[in-house]
Amino acid sequence: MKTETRQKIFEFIKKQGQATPKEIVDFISFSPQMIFRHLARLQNDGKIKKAGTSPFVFYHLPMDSKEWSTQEAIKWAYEQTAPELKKDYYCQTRDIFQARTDKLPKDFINTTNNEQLSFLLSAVVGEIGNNSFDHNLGNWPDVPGIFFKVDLKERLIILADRGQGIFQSLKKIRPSIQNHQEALTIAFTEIISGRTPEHRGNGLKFVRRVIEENNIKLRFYTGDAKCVIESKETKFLKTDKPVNGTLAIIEF
Amino acid sequence: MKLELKKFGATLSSRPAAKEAWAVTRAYILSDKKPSEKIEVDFTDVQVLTPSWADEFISTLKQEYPNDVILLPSDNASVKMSLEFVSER
Repeated sequence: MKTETRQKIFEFIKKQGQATPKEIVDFISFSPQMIFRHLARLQNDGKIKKAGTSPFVFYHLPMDSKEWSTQEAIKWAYEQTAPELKKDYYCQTRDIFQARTDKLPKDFINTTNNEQLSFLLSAVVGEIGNNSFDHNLGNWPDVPGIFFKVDLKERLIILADRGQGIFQSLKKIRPSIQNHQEALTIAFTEIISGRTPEHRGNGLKFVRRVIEENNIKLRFYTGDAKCVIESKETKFLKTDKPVNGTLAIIEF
Repeated sequence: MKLELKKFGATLSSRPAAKEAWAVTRAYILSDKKPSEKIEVDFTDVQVLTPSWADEFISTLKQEYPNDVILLPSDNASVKMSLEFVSER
């Protein structure tokens, strides 16, 4: 019985990605004391980890810090209902995003010791983040703004939005586009704009070139499609689980 | 006349920011331009230029003054690549 309860708690945390003590208590409906004993045992066994500080404590499965860094963005991008984001990573408006990107060159130079790469990376971040606002302003399906996180220690940049995605944007001007994968391929390879008659559509081509030429890794998701640029090679693939809007993970 | 882009910031990134910069440039700077006077665009101290900003500002400037715009050379990688992308279209 004890093992069963412990397993149930473990499975619940695994499914949720992370869970607060209250969520676990509500789910299991046992006494909090008993649940905390199980949680302590699971921690001792190395099956779960405790994070945060009281009263904002939560439990999660052991992950390396890179996985941990992407976890919130993945939830924000994939879940049906948008989870609440920490202010640090949420740019509700373009002004907030702009203010945060202004200090990027300096941060990147400190990390990479490469001035020119830092300027290019900052431009890539600007293009991807601003794209989200350009195509969704006034038309966000649920929550406005973007997730934006830079983890300098892990050399990781994550941007995500819950917007209409590339397929919806491009379909309006090129109705022949059939699916997310085709839309994503066009966005990264052809000059096409979802905001005609304005002249635009270079952004993701620029992103691709910077990533390819500087040996950076990019995973870019929209709908059930992804673009992976790694070791100077670009691939367009279909995924199993669709993302809301777009999600970009850059490893530099 | 010289247009020093650093006056709009070291990071030139979004389209709305470029539109704003263009509106100000046209109203207050280019209003003093003499006919056939050249416009030198100076990128000194610009750290980050995106193709979006360049498209919105530089392309509009070139469109308005097709024979007068001179883009001064820059060593900055983001400036060079963004200008390349803008001139491609």
